Amino acid sequence: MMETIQTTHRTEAGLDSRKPAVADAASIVTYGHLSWLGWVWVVASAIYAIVIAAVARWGEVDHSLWQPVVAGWQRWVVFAAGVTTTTTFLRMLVRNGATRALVSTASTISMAVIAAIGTAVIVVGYAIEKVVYAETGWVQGLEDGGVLGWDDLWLVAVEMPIALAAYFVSGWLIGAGFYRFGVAGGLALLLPALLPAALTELVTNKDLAGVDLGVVPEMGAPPLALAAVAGVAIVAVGVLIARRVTSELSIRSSI
Amino acid sequence: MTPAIEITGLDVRFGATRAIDDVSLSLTGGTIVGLLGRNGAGKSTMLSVLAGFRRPTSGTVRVDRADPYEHRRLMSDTCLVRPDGDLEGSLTVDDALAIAAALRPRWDDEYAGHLVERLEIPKRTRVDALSRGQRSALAVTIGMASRAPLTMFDEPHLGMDAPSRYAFYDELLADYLAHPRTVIVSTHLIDEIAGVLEDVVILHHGRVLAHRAAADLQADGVELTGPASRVDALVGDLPVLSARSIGSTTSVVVDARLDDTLRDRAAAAGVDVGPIPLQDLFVSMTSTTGMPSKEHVA
Amino acid sequence: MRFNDGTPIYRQIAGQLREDIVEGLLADDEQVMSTNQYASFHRINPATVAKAFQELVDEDLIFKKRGLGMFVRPGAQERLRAHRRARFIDDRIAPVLAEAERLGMTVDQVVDAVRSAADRRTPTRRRTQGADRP
Repeated sequence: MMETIQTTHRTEAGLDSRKPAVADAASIVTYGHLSWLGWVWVVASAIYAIVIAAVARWGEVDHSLWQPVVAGWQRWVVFAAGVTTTTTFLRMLVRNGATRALVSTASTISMAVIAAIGTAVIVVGYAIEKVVYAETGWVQGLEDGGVLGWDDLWLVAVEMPIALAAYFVSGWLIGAGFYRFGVAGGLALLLPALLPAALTELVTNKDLAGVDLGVVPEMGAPPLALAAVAGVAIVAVGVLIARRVTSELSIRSSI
Repeated sequence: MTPAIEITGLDVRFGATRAIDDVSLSLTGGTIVGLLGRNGAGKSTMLSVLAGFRRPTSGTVRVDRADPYEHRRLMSDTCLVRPDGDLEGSLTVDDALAIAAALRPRWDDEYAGHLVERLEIPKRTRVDALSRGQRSALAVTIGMASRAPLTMFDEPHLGMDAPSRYAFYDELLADYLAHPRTVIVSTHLIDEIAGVLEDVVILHHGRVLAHRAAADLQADGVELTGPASRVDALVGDLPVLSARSIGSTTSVVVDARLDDTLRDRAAAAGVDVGPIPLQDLFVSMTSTTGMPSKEHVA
Repeated sequence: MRFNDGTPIYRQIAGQLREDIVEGLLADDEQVMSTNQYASFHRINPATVAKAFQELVDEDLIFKKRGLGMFVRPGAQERLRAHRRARFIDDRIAPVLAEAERLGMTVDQVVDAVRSAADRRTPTRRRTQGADRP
């Protein structure tokens, strides 16, 4: 049915029936996120580089300095990006003719891109640190006591994007909750919305890709394959719920 | 592309408030319709529902015979321009235009450039640094250049100075003539826009008070002024919309056509008779605080 | 044309067209501007223009030539003038007499006033009056 309508439209002058295209919507959302997220990563990396240079000049260190930069608070930055899905991008796209479904699809793609780029930055950072530490003879110790090995980088590469995506989805759910139900309702839905993030912490390796939330029981590192599958499933369910919630949102004026 | 609009039994409620109350309305495609009403009459809500920005509480809405809510083709072929423009503050004017260009299937870049120049919008300035009027001008520009078959303006002129408003009416009419579409304009500056309108819908307390051709509405509205007794005698049982008195002089606005018969009768009775501007007629019709009675609905 | 004095716009347009016909600015069989041209020129909705045109069509002052546009009906000027002559007393004289009565003037005084006004006008009238041409 849609195909027939599209064909008829193609003959109309001035009409570009490919629009609005998923690729364009996804580009807009992704570029929008990265235009500030990207800077966070750049600045964090720059600070790290300065600190390493200073340490190299004046002292020594026996643990990874990159780990504190990337293992914990990074998630919350991506979480914030997830929140803006509703607070910024919903209105921006729908007022230009996109459906909420398209906004959700674009945001999901954006989530994957952010997760991928974020992970790449983290992994490359660890790799560079490994090389630098080898040069200076320092030990790349980790918080839980181990030492970073090349194998660990694979674990990070698999689990980090899942963790970042899960936090993005939780942010998306919380933003939508507050938008739809106001402050009281949003707060009431805070815990369920945080589930994707919390559940992912359960299945990912604490030391490298996870964060000790304190309230989550220690489970020991599950096998990578299980963690990956479970993590993707958690994110997928979260996305589906976020999509459903988004499809019912009214586009309110700011005045 | 000139989509027709069919609204049946529309109810939109916000908690206990009934913004739209059992409204049924048919708008033929390809016309410029003025949507008039006092603040809180339900105009913005109606336009939001037509744009698929909001779901009805009950009732049906059909644009080009389909429900616009989450309808991919209809939403991309509908453009609602609201007072704040629905613009993201951190974007520059160029960015905002680029986003519209990327998403709107009928976007005309050259026309957008022409409007930006004519309305004097600074291209590299951030949206949150624009004046109110500039923001409205940008919103109107995006609305016009999107060339959506259903284009709706919800008080588009807020903050715009008179020269910019007149430029907008100019552009609206010229582009409508060149690219026919269905246009709905909601505004409080009724007399300014009256010339541009073909049909008028008046909303009052969430209901349709009147739906007539603009020409008819302008013709149906006569002011009779003179000594109270003579005016009252002349008015007889014509529907009175409003009345004022100073001393023994009364001025009454009646819902009647200003034709030769009435003119002659007025001259004979020594009563001044004249047409009233659409805005004055609108004020008279909506000054009653009660709900519109069935007789008023055209 | 001022479009915001309260008179319906289509009436103003129709009125202007009748004036143009009466004064001979629009001659028999001459083409009238199209609704879109009119609308564009005066910045008003073409439907409003169409309504004005329809009024004139109903009064048989203009007619539509298929595919070409609107044209002035032959004899429109004379018919319009005849109509105005018929309405002259009700439209123009009656208000004058009503005002004269309010001012306490007699009918003879009104007639005298008409004559002296005519004398004052005569030099201008000879130059522009079409009906006086032999």
